[in-house]
Amino acid sequence: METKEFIEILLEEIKGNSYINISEFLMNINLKKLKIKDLIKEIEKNYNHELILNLENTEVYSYDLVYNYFKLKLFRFLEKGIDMDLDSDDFKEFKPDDLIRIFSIIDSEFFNYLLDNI
Amino acid sequence: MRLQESLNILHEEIKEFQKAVKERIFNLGKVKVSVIQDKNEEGPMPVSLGLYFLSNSTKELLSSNIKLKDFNRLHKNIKRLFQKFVDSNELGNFDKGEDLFKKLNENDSISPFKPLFCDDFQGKIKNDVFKNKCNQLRESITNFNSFKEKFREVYSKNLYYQTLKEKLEKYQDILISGSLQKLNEEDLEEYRLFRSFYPLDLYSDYLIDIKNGNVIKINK
Repeated sequence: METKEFIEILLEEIKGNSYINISEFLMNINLKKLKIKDLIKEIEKNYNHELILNLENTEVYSYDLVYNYFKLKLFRFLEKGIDMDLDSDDFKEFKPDDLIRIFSIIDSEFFNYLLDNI
Repeated sequence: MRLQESLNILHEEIKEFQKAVKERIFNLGKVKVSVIQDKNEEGPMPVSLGLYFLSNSTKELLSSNIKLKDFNRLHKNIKRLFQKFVDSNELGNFDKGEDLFKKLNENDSISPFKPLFCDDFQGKIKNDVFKNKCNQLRESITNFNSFKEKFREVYSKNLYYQTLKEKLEKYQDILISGSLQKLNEEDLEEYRLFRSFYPLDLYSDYLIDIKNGNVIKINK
């Protein structure tokens, strides 16, 4: 099976599950020939708006799951009134590029929201 | 979206914000915010300068090899600016209300869970159930592993509600029109779900006939 075909199955699966353990998933659908390295490369290159890999490349999350976690984290830190540290254990599961990319989007949205509320 | 692209958007957004607040808020320079600078030194500066600093830091980041360490500092400063605007009465009229987390989630333009928090649905879900869900979600954010479990549970409902919201409005229109025929052209299970959002005495003259698998109207 082609990597892209597999990703389509993954996307379908993740709609309902939000996150998947890659090895378990490959085993369940009896796919042993697929190279995880190719899969990771393809996800990072062409599917990073829908799928996010964890730091160890063992789990894949829906973009919505990660985006919402980050956004609600920001809401919670604003509620508590304390500093937010992206280098803390709260974000240890994620790759630096994903943290920067997604938080840039969230911060942009929040600036926009503040403008309507001040 | 690529990393560079998202940072570019952020940079544009900061510049736009900077321009807009300068025009709207008279005493922008009087309120101070503590900003972390290079070498992790920090000190208070007027909000107007703080925004200028943010814009420049983002621009610098864009022209460098973007590292989390540098973005983290930028993001901490951005969050401090947000906090200042949320907390300070001198900067506009941001009303935090009693529950900031809830307020943010209720806003259509920013909430990730807006269908769950919008008035329509809050009114239809039992209030204590809604509060409980809201608190569970809030508590789960302390840890990603617990959040992803909670998210899976709440988000699937959220997605479903989004679709369902349109359907609920459609059922309401059909019931107001009184057309039993139209009602029976729709999916019975969806109608059952629609009914579950309302008190039993509302729309109570339309009953599901389990035996025949349709909806019947009783005359009271």
